[in-house]
Amino acid sequence: MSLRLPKKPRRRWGETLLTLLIAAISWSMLIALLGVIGFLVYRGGKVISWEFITTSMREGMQAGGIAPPLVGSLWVATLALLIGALLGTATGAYLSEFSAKGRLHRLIELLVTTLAGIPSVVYGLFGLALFVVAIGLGASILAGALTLSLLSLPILIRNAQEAFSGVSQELKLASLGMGASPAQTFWRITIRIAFARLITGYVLAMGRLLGETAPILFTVAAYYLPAYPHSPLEPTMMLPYHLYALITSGTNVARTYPMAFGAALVLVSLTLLLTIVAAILRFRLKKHLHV
Amino acid sequence: MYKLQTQAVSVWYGTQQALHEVSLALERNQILALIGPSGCGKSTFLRLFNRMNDFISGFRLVGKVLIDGEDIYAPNLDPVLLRRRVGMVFQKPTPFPFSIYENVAYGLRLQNRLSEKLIRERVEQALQQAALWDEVKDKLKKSALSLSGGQQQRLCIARALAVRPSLILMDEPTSALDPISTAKIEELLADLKRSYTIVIVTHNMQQAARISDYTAFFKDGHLIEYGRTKDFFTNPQHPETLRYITGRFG
Amino acid sequence: MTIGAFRASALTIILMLAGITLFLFREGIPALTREPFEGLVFAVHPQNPVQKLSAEDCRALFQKNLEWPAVGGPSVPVLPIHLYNLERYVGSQATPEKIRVFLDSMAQVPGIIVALPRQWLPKSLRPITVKWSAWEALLARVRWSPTYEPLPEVGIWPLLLGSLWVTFLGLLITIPLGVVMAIYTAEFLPRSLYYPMKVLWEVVAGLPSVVVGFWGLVVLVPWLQKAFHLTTGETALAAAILLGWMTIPLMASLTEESLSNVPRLLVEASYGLGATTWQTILRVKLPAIRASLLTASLLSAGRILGETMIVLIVSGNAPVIPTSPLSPVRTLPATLAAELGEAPVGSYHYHTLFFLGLILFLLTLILNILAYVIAPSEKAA
Repeated sequence: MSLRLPKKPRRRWGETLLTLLIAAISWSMLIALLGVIGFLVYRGGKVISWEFITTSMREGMQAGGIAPPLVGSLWVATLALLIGALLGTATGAYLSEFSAKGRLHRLIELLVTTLAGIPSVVYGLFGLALFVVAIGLGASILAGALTLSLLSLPILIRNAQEAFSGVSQELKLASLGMGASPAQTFWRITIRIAFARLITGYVLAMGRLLGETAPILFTVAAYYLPAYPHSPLEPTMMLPYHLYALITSGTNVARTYPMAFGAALVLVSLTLLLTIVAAILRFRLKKHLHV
Repeated sequence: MYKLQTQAVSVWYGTQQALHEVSLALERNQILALIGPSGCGKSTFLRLFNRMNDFISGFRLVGKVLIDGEDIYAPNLDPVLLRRRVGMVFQKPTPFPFSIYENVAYGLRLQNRLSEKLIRERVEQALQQAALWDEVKDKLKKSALSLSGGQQQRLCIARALAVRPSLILMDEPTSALDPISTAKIEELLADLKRSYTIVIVTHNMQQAARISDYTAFFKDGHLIEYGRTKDFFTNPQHPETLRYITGRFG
Repeated sequence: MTIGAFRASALTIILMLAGITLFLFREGIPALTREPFEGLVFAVHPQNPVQKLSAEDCRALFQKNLEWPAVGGPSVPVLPIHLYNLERYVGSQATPEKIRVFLDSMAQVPGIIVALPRQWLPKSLRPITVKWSAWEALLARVRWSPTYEPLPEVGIWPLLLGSLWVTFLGLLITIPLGVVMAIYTAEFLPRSLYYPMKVLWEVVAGLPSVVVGFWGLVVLVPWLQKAFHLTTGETALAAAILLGWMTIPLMASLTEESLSNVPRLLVEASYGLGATTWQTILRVKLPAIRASLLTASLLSAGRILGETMIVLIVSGNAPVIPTSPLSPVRTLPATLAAELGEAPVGSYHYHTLFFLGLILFLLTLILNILAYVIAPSEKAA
């Protein structure tokens, strides 16, 4: 019996067309991104200067720079990351290395997933009710940082969990076999190997935190406070909120809009930088570990 | 007194029984080889002596496991301390991603009580005992991952030796290595016997015949036969043993 | 000790979620139990036979949308006086003395109705009861005007429907495009570009929403205005386009992961029978990941639902029930962001906003739990 191969099926070119179509659609996402960023660079690039980044605003918000919100954002985000990293990494370590993997473990994982889906504005509400009002911190760097740190917890916990689980089981067993306690194994072996992966996660989280607006609206952001904060119990200007203020309440649009473009460009550049650095780190790690 | 001894030890993982009433005893400075088909329980038996089975959920033990006359499953005995007195070498070399020196020093540092000078001495001694010193003495600070497979395994042996354990357990230590490295390690074991007691799991019967003083044959969780290696391979008592041995040799 | 500390951290997570739920309820439930006009007394002329009014009618009277006879009162013009329109009569520099004089003189007017704190109430006027039904006010009304005094309109439907409408429109963009990108990335993209594509997704997802909103305001909104001949381009559609685009990476990455995890046996069976790539995708892979597609859609919906800034900037901020994609709209999160800053802590407005927050929280909770139940291998972050 011979293999009578049929002529090329008619469907083929229809499929090629389909493939081309979805390729076009997929790459249009890149084009859209470039469009957004390019536009910002174009309009905002004219405004950016050393003075813009390092001096405070003048004439309302119509001239000068964005140093106070920039500094305020960095303060709050860094503090938030520290708190979140501590708590999140510890929880991730617990889930990955020390928990009995029973019902408590599954419950906590479910809760982490749930927390990840809560909108950032609800975290803002919670932060307002708890830190600002109930505990009495008032609108302050501390309240804002605490709120943001809660927001970052789900990401950081999962990051830590994956980082620690990714350390080869054999190495952990080798350490245990030598009489190291689980805690010693964690500190001497696991965390050292997972370190780079952890850092990547922190960088990524920082990028996200810098761009968050809703949680800081009621917990720390000041509308107009062109001074630098002296203590964590003071409110401060924040870059995303400042951008929003420039967009929506400028009476003199011709002057506030350029400032807004500048601020937007700075904010996007920061976020982009951190995201890309994290991506590169993770990429180089992947290559490194694939023995 | 025997170095190690088990009395009617049975082991379950959940509802699966892995060992059935195994009793044997070994004197010091002997090498005991554990052989048998896969899944027969020899690894489980090996890991009784440093309580590594504790990490597997559902693990349950009945019977007594004694080292130097002491019941190591007694409730007040800290398994972490036990593992510092019993060394283990795994099938796949598992060097830590540190320097060669730090790998060997790892166990010594766990106790935090030794001076740097003492640690250096012990590292050198351990590397010499593992027949690795000459090959690495000039590059102790280099990463352990830069060594060949055979060298890495000898590093793992040195690492285990550095803490001067009273008992060494080896789980198929040469099955992942080439013949030359295997030969080197077998030479090593003959030397080590003078100072240590060794229990080794192997699926290579020629190896068992070459290096061990006593051999134990396991099948389906039962200890079928146990005796001096010389007699074991030339005159096995149990028909199962005979069948297993000839099956392999033939 | 290490283990103890770590376990404590893990338990904090439980505390957190409990805390959030607790506070939302604690601050939100008063919207249902309290009255917005606490501390105020409503009163009318002693000859006015009206004893009780519903909150709706009372408000209508104050807004002069209703005449006295309709509620059983005399045929006289309505004269509403309350704290917030007092200024119109006495000027902004009035002394307490002047105010009392004014009020006493007004108390003679037969059609008067006042809402004043007890100590300002002219003795001659007779208090009436105004019935405020919180459930009805919140859940059965379609106007949102929470700062209207003394009887705010707190119907949540415009906001809720606004949120749902924007989410729906946004998903129309997110789901198809997300699936398309997932298919492309999983099946056709050259492997060397795989990683860059995923980085691209992460970059887009990580863009600050304020910035995207700003871009939308400057580029998209004017374009919509021109293209559809509108008075303003600030519409639900603008928000939906931007939100839909920003959520595509989430949908795409979840879907791509599922596509890559379709069991090899299934795929090989398909190819072994002579199916082409596309046939395998359409007939085997996509059906195989049906549950994951649903999960991913639910999670994307949750993400869009909860987004605040983009909506705040480009959707027109009109708390009315949307009638088309080109209507301006106001969503739940946008309302929270816009109004919380001005609501005094502990006021009725404050509690109403927390009530909104509670609803938003419960909505996203349900979406996420559904997603988890349908396909537990989640990655919602």
